[in-house]
Amino acid sequence: MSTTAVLPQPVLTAIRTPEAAVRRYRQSWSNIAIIAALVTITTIILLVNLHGYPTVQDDEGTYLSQAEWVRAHNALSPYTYWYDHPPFGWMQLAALSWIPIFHDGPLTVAAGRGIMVLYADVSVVLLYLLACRLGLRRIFAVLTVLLFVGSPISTTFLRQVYLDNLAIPWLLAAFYFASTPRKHLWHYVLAGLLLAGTVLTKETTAVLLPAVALAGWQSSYAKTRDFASVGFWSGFFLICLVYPLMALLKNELFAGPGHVSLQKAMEFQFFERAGSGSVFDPSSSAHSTVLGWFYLDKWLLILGAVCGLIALFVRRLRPIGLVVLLLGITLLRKGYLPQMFIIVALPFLALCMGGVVDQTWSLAQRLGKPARWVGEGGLLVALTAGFLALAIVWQPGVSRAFISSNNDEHAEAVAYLRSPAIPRDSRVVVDNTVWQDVYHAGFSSPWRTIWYYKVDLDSAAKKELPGGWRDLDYIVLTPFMRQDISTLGLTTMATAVEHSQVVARFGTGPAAVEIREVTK
Amino acid sequence: MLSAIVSAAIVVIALTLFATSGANLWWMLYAWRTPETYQGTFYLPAVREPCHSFSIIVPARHEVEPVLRATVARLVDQTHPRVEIVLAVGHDDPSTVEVAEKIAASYPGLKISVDHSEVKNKPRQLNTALADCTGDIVGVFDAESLAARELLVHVDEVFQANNADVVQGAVQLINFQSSWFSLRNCLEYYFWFRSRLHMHAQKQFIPLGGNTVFVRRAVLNEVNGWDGNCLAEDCDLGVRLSALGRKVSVAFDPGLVTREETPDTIYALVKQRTRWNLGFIQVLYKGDWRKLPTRRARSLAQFTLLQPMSQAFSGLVLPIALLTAVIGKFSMIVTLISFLPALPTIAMLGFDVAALRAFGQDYSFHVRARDYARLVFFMPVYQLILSWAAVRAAFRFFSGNFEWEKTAHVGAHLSTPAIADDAA
Repeated sequence: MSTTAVLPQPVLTAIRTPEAAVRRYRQSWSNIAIIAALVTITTIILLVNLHGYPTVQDDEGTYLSQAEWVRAHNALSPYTYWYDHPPFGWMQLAALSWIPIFHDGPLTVAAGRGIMVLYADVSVVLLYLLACRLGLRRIFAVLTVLLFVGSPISTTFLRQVYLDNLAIPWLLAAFYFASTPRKHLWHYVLAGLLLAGTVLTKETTAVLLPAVALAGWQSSYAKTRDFASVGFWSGFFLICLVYPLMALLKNELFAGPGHVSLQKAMEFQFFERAGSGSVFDPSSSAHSTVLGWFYLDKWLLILGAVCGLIALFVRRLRPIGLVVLLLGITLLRKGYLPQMFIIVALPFLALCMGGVVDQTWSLAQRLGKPARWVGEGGLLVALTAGFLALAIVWQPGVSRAFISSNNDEHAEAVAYLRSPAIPRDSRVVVDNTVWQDVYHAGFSSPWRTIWYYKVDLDSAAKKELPGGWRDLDYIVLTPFMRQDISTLGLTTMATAVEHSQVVARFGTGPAAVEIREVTK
Repeated sequence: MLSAIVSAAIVVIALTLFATSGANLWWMLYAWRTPETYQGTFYLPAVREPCHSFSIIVPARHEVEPVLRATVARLVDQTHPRVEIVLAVGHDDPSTVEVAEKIAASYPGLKISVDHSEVKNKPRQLNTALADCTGDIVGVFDAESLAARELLVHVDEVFQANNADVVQGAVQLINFQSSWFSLRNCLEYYFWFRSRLHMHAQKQFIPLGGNTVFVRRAVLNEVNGWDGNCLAEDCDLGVRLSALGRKVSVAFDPGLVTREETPDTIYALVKQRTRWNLGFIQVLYKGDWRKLPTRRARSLAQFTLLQPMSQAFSGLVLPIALLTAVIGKFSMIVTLISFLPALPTIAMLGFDVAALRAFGQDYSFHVRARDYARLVFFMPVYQLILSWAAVRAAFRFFSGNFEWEKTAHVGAHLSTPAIADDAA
């Protein structure tokens, strides 16, 4: 009898057998211990001198003040929200920044960095789990995490309140579920949802879509792949759609007179924003950005990139290699290249290194007996030597993170503004590193404590400041602000600075923060 | 104040719709959840010797000869050695009786059972025919369905291997290119028999189908056969057997499905759907599902029996709720929540496309780009048709009209070219 019902062999993944369950149970305790240790190490590396290093940045304050506005004023920003980024990132900040340790202190921005430590901890857990899921031996999964958090570039950037840091756990979780060994439909839907969370946290991560999709494609079962794909993409698109839908409901989807719009913001981000030039052109800002990264740590970047290319040839590592490749292409494309671009790459660079080491180890094990011992031994020596070498080159960077005090000037300026020295009905122009502090010191309106950027660029400025620079009373001039006024060509601000004199100065040299009174 | 009440109402409605359509979507996708569930939906390879005898009832009413003859021919042609066929007809339908006698003349051993009930319907004809059955297992085949040659051998295997009391085989509408609504109708069957019913068997509550369903005769006699007053006698039987904890197996294989035709007009479809909806409400109302062993199974029963109605009404409520939320000045979060139920609906469209592709692969049909376009484009219209049927059913329920509206069979499944080689 011919069988019309031809049964393919049941596909039971190893993970579902009872023996595997017992093994997993035994492993789970040691895994918990490993994870606890990794989280502790990460926390220590980031928490030591968190407020003192690195120098507080304008963007950090922007996100934190927007988070405060979400929480306390049911709005997306103290100023006009103009679709610069999707607001999901600072909504997450808002969910945590009400906790006193995340906003109390000499500098609100520095206190807010505590949230980043939490996010880094979650990232580390997910990175370890993802590494294990990709089949890395546990020792190499641990190595991956240590490479990620040990590099001075991480100890610098992971501390800062950037949307990219908020996006990393979402992205890692999306990869984790897209690589599901159970191939469960729900895991693919979840991967899509998490990826939407990633993109709504930081829109630039959208370039990594193909990499997560590849991970899902590779892990999925051929017979149910179509359904897994639909689950993944509908999870992703339907959640992403919330953003333009929100704009549409506010009648801000399309450009038009008298209002901001998502369309206009997209045009700006994709077409109008000045590119940073080629990374190979020594006079370009992209070049100096890359030099800045190299100054912090070139080893994770170079070794990670090389391993990323190798990873493209190993099936299980291919999606991770693709992340590195896609980010590399973006880097070389001469578009706008902000400093924090590198953040999302860091866990994946580390994972590529760990993965390639694991793959090499597997190759060594395939050799015959004597050759195998030589191979394994050689590899062990090379690894130990490499890790020690890295520890040595990384030591100065990590020490710098542990002992620098870059933010004293800012804190002193804030302390001065908290004193009664300046009348509370003055208009004080600040950058966002101290914006919340000054606002809460009694200059309690976004047009009493004014973010310098808005003086020239907010659509509401004409109404609020009819007299232009003459309506301003004080300027808290930070090094960053001084530079930005000229780069962005903020003319009102430049005139105001010209017509002002120093009333107090904190610190010396280029790091000094000045408080200047506008003379009319 | 009013605005707050309306907001709350919108949120409640939106969340309810979201939960129901989400759950429905999730259950529809059961077969494709994991490789294991996918593999679990198939027939086992028939390795054992057939050990049961079968009595197959073919209820016929107002049937034309070619349709009925084709159905019988496929049953006579079974590779299973012990099959008895009973044609169930009604005494008030002399033309069909005549057709049955003509067919019986060419197949010795074929039985004709004539039902003399005052008011005719399918369950009564089935009960009358049941008395004439002698096989261990009683199967029901609709008059317009084409069985695969090796079906009964495989069904026998499932009875043996799973120690089952009931085996539900898959039925598939196949004339998907006849019209835009036949395409959607075919896909509904595909989702139901390829996927959803397997979930029901696993969760121990199953509304059985009325075609290609096999029950041990002893079990059937124990529950006094079918409910002669129920419009969804098949579903009702499933509920009663589930409540008794009888073991139901569902099995699928593209080569073993029973092929059927879609209703040939929209009105016929609406009539058929009205009958089903009404039947489901009747079964819900009868309350046998209350005897299901677990709370989980009981809620699944309630949900499933109400689903044709809730789905249809959600099709009407959703646009209204959305419109209210967009036009009215509500807070952003209320408006966004009102969009929630649209998510499973849109996602379902994507899964429809995936299912149509799988359908084409399973049955070696060439699915054209045009078919995919039709599938997506006509979704709202089809939804409206379902809503229409639901409104009709609700109206009939409240006016106590439980008349049986029969679907006419024109034989579209016989002319679909792809079936020529299906039993090869």
